[in-house]
Amino acid sequence: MNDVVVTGVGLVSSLGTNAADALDAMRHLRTGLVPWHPLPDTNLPVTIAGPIPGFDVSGLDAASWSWPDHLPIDRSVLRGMPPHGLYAMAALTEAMAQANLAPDACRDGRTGLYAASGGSPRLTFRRLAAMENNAWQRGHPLGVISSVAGTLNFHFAAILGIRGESCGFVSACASSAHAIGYAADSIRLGRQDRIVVIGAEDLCLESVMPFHGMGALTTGSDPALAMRPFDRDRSGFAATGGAAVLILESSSSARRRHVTPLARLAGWGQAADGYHPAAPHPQGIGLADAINLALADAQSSPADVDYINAHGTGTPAGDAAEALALSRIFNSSCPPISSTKALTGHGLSLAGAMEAVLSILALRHAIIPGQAHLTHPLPEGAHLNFPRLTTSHPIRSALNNSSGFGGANVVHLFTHA
Amino acid sequence: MKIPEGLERRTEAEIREELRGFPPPAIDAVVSLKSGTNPASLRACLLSVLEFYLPQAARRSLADVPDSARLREDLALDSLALAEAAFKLDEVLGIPVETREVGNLATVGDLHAFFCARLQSDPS
Repeated sequence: MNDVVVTGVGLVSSLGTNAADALDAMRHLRTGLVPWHPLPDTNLPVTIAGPIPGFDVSGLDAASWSWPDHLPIDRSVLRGMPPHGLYAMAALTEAMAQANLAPDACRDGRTGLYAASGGSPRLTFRRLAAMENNAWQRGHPLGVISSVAGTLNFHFAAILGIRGESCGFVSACASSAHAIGYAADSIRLGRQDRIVVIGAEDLCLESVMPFHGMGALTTGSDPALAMRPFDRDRSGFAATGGAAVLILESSSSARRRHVTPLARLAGWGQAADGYHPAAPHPQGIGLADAINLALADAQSSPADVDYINAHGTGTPAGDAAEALALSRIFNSSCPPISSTKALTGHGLSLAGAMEAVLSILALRHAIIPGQAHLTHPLPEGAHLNFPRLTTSHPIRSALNNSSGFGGANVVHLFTHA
Repeated sequence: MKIPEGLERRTEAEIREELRGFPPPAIDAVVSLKSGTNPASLRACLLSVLEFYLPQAARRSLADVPDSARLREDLALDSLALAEAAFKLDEVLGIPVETREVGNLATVGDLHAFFCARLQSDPS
């Protein structure tokens, strides 16, 4: 089977407009979480989030959106996109440049596109409300393709001229992690030479506030303390948006193109909890199985793992389950673990791809990101290794955990190429 | 010719917000339509908004385009772009436009006549 490498990454996050900004934030444990008041005159119960600096996508129409001047984005390609399509466009530009791929390089039939997002609840809600107001007589012509869950693959397959595989993934907060895993399988099987993987989400009331109804969002007001993965006193997550793009490619294709890979996706695994539509299994059995499957896929053992980028959303149930899963596998010798969501916020469908990029950055730049905002580790993880500060240290391999509703668990293992 | 109802009840600031990101001439055309409506200002308003929906490869000024210009063949507007433009005009002017009605329009003149009719005005 073909070896799978990553030849380009792009990241637009609360930490900045590119991967270098995020790397700098990880080095210094600088959080992108800030006070968030999208409705200034309303007393919202949630006041912390991770907006994307330099972007304004508050209008419904792409005509009104703005972005940093240095990003070469043609406004006309944004028409009919969801707001996070703009973030994806910026991240794609960065990833394509790093992979040394020209814009028309994806038209060869050997390039696929896998994307993940929750669609745009905001556009869905607003467009449907407008239709209801006119007795369902008229609707926005691009209302469907701008708002449903497949919106990213619709748009970017057209922009890139994709003639190979094109598909969207929907497994909540494991969606883009699934996209990476299945992309790797397709490349391994020789069906595609490369696959562009995009994960993106919008940060807006309509995307975020429904999670408050589940009790999943922190209501803390201090950006430095509100989201506290693996802390005894954690109270839920702060949300974020943004986009992450990875160019996955067969190692033979990368060699043919004389491109130096950033990392190798040595293996991945997935396993479901079979337990509850929203809550994780209390013992984290699905996640533990997914970790074991990823290690087996990579022909690695727990002792080979030098860093774990945990799912760690800071919810009471989720972190406890993940800590128990990690304790079971890495019991005797635990590598450093951190959830970078304490810095970025939780990007929902975007999370798996965003943290894959952050894991690759850690691997390449030999840093172990510290666990921000952790004071008292949770009792379920008393024996786990949560470094409080980022340290410089060579990493042989980095494990990236993702979990989503329905008990979906996905794990990647990245190594040096 | 009467001022479109949806336009009349909007303030200039609301119009400018509705058209945020559109080129200034398009915004100015809509604002001027509110203050002094006549067939010429309606035509300028329609064309300046329509211009925004031209495909990238066919981007051009429509200020001097003749009534005989064909929306699809000459301006390269596909049915979705035309529907988008009509929907935006519906939002901004408050003139209800159905997608299928726009689909029947062939030329710039047809478009102008359609909106004039909606405003109970003589297109000439």
